[in-house]
Amino acid sequence: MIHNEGHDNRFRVLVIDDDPSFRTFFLRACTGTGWVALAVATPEHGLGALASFAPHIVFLDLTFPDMDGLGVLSELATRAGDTAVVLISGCDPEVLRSANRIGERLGVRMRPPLQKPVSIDDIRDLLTAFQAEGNFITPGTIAQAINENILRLAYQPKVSLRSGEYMGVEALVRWPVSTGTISPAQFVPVVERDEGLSLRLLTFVLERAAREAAAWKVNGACCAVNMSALCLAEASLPDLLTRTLKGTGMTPRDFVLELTETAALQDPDRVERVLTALRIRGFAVSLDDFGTGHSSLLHLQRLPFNEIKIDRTFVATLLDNPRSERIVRLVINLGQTLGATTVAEGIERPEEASVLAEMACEIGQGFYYARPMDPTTLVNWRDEWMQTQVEVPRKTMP
Amino acid sequence: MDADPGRGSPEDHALSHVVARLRAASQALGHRVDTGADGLGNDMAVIHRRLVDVDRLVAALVASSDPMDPATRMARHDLMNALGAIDNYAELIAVDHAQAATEAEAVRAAVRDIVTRVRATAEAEAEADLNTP
Repeated sequence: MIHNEGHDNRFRVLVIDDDPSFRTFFLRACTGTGWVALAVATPEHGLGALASFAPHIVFLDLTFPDMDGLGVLSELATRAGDTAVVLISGCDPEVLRSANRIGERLGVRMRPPLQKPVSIDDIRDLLTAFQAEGNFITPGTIAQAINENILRLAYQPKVSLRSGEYMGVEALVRWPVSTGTISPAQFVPVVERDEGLSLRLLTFVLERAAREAAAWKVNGACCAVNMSALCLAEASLPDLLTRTLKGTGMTPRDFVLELTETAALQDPDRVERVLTALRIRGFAVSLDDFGTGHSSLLHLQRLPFNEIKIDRTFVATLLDNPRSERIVRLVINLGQTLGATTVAEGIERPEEASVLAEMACEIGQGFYYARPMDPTTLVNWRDEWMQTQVEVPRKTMP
Repeated sequence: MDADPGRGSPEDHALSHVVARLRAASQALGHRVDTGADGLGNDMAVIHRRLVDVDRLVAALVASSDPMDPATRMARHDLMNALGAIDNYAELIAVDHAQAATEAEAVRAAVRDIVTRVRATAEAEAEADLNTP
């Protein structure tokens, strides 16, 4: 279900309850919350309203004359899509908890259930928390933000740890809204659960970064773009990305694809085929967050990476934890052995940059050099950085 | 129909007592609000109507010997819904009619007391059932 299609941008809540006094109470409780509320008496009407009203969240009673709440949950499971469900009932607590677990097993986005009696604050607190947690961010709203060109790119510079030379940037997606910015931590995980959306976001970022190349492109500078492993399920990915760059003046050689979410890597043969095809076309391929999560030596052994990105958690503890220091040294040696460039992210202190440079890590990235910035600021930063490097080489190995 | 205080356990008597307290609190709330103003009459009517349900359902619970019997479960579920409605409308009255806030809160306190007792009794009896050889 795609929210907001044919609706305004307000949040919508649907309550399905056969008790008319509760429906009236619920609607009055929602007054002044900014949510658009709809109350219906029967599961049949509720299921119909899923399509016509497209609620972000449904409050569902568990007991109806003709159908129990579990039957409604089964129906919801096939139609609810991104919609979250809150069970609300006067039944015994263990029954409510059990029904909630059944909903989860059916794949419905269940929220903690509410035991009647509920108060106005119970309802309002839940709606407020739902908004605050970014639950309104769904594949549908993200797709809409992409289609309406709302997403922006911020660029974080990468610097040679040996010479201080500007090497390029990593393009990071930003979602501006009227109240500020929606954190990538809120919407990227949603993207990375959806193969089609992962592909859509990747092509969007690539195309936009290519159009904004004037900001980051100088000499041999490259732009790194995050690519979820889900994208590798698409056999035509190399063609798709090459086509995306057509007419932009940029070529695959100007980009590094940083592979994230390697937990999603399936079918090693196909993955190898797609990554190799990307390399043949000229894209560099980097294994992001190496050393954490599901990135493994097996990936390095089998797949044609030409860059390893050392996870920031190792960099953050590099100076204080001897084991981190040994692991980072090992990864850098591994990169050298495999002929892959090593990149350290999350550098925040000059001492970290020095130690990494001494270890022969090649590229650094982090707040010590610069925070992610918009294209105009990047141009100014780049000019200033290059000027500084000419006058007094600093922020490099001593 | 009132819960019969002449039968049942001490817990049943205590439950009947708090139901009587709820009834008294609801009457006090009814006297306090101007039922002709701003739909308050409708809100009070919901409370009065659901109080009748509460009496009937509490009587059914007191008469039941098995807390996990389906009919008892259903009676408890319906009781929670009825109490929920009373609580909800007392809260709405408190919000819309500040002069009656104290009386409305007394109604809500009585509702919570009944809810707590009914749930505690059901859990205790269910546990006793489980421990019975």
